[in-house]
Amino acid sequence: MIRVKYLGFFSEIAGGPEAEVDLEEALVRDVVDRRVLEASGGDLVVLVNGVPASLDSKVRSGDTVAVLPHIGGG
Amino acid sequence: MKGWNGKILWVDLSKPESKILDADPSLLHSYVGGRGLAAKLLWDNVPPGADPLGPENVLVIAAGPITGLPGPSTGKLVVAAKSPLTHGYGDGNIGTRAAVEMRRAGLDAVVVKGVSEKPVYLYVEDGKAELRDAEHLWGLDTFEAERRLLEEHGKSAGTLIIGPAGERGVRFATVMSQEGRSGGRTGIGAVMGSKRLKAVVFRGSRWPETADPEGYMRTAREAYAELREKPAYRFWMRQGTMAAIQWSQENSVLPTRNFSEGVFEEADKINGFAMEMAKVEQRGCPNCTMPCGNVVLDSEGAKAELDYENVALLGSNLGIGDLPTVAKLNRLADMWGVDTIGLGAAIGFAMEASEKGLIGEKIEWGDADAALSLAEDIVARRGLGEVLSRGLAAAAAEIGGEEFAMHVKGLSITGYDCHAAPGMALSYGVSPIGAHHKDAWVISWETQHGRFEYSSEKAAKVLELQRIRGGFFETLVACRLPWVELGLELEWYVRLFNHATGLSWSLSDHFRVADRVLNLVRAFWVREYAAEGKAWSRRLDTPPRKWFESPLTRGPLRGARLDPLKYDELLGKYYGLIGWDYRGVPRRSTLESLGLGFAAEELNARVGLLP
Repeated sequence: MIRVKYLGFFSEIAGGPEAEVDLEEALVRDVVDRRVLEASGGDLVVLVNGVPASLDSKVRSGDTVAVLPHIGGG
Repeated sequence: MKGWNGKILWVDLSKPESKILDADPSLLHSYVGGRGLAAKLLWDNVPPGADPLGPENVLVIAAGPITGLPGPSTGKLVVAAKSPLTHGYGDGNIGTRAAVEMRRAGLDAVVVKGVSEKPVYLYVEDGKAELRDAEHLWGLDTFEAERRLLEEHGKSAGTLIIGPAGERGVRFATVMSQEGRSGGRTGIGAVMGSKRLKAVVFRGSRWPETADPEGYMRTAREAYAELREKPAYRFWMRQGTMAAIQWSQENSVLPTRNFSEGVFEEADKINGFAMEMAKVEQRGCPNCTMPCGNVVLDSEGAKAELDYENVALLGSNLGIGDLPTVAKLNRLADMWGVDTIGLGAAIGFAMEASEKGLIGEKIEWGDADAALSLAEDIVARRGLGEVLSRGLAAAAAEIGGEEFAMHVKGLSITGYDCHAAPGMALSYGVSPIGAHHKDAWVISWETQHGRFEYSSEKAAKVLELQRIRGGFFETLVACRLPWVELGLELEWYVRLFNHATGLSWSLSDHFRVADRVLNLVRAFWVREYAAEGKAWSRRLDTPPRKWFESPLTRGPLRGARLDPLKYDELLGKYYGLIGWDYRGVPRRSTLESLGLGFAAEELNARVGLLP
């Protein structure tokens, strides 16, 4: 099981702040909600287990992917 | 002249007298407004080496050619002076009715020098200015003082007010408006206090003329409509900047325990979702349709307006994981007129100094009562609070702890830990006012583009953001949040500017102004350092030692720290891009190419310029 966390407005697009994807191994882009990828045009921040990663990073069951929108930081 | 009013109010509190003079059109075209106007007016009118809290220092309040006119988040102005905290260029922006009313009163800027014999406030109405007695307001907190001023002048008046912190000379005292709007964390409130200027009140009844009123209004309407359609709009309206707590926690950049860590174990209790559960009201600046002032009830049941920076510095940075308690500290800071960020930084520094045994006081992480008591002492300027009221650099010089005094050039660092963010560290290092996120918030970009690299591309991104955020928006004057948070294209603002002024500028024309302003601001710093007999060096553009020497011990990025040699190389890359020498001093050719030959002559005489 791969856990996917959606931050900020991505949580609204994905229908919730978290999802689980039942795969043993995948690329990040394969586990992120399609609607989030479309809305962001792929321009987003990806963390895998809290470490900077990309949509092309490999993930395995037990990993947590966090998908963050770009924000401006006030 | 269209867009601008073309008028500046000059006030000398010592004489006392005030007069409204025409502004030189070339001044407005070269510096546009806001920070640009402030930088030039300070350069021309502050005698080099002036005491920031003496009569020679100058307070500037400046708007720009679209300030106050309809358009996304255009209700802001800039307050500026030689900073009593940093002794360099200091400014801040505030979203307030004062921005709108100042422009409707027929002004683009106000320049105040001298010191009044007794407390006064400046009242400006439709092209007339007078100094009024403020004995009855002196000593009042900013909320109560504003309430009385609005009773006197009507609720539509725009106010800029200082509280007890500014009156007493706390060097990170701010200027406040509308019970939560705050600006000037470089100590502009203390400058007002030193002049015995309690407040400035504006009332106006006439909009500045625009060159193309129909085109302007059409563009403004379209821009507002587009903003509402942005995909992030709905969530922004829920959480505003408070969403950044979770964002920073996930990214290991949430300042925790005086910037020792980037993750806080109680972040969930103070994040945007916790705020949503407690929200009772939402406030915004004039002309804003994406208000970011989220109001909750604090631990005393009073309304407190929160945003990310307040909560990060008064919450996780102090180890306090209780939102109502953080809200109370925040509200009191607003009432006292003291910078919430600077206050959190000062208390965090004291907590670490206590932990390390540098001070006798016991102030433990997460101890809200001790934090509150120390906050009161800072504003009252008594005991340890008096030392801290002079800022982190001065405090560290007196009690030690320079390596964990989290500031750059005297201004405390804002809400992002940089152990694992070299680009953001550079943003703080070369910010025009000392450590601040306003000019270049590069951390989101760098997380996606080589987080741990010290690349030329990263230095270029910092400069690009400075041009947009610190140059373009700070001179217009308008809020950057519609662009940076929701993605409203910059071109909307270029069009508004052109409709207002009748000029046909492109974005690159604005960036040229931005470069002029960034360089003049740097020239001001170097001039003031030289005039005060202090050496200028690139060390001043380097963040504190903690981020280089003490790695993160928690979270997914534990072990991360900045590399001092690589940071220095990154700094050199930035200097090369902006046209500064190895010291961080603008080159003669850089200044002359931007029409700053007058600054080149003066700097050359003081520090010697490289070609």
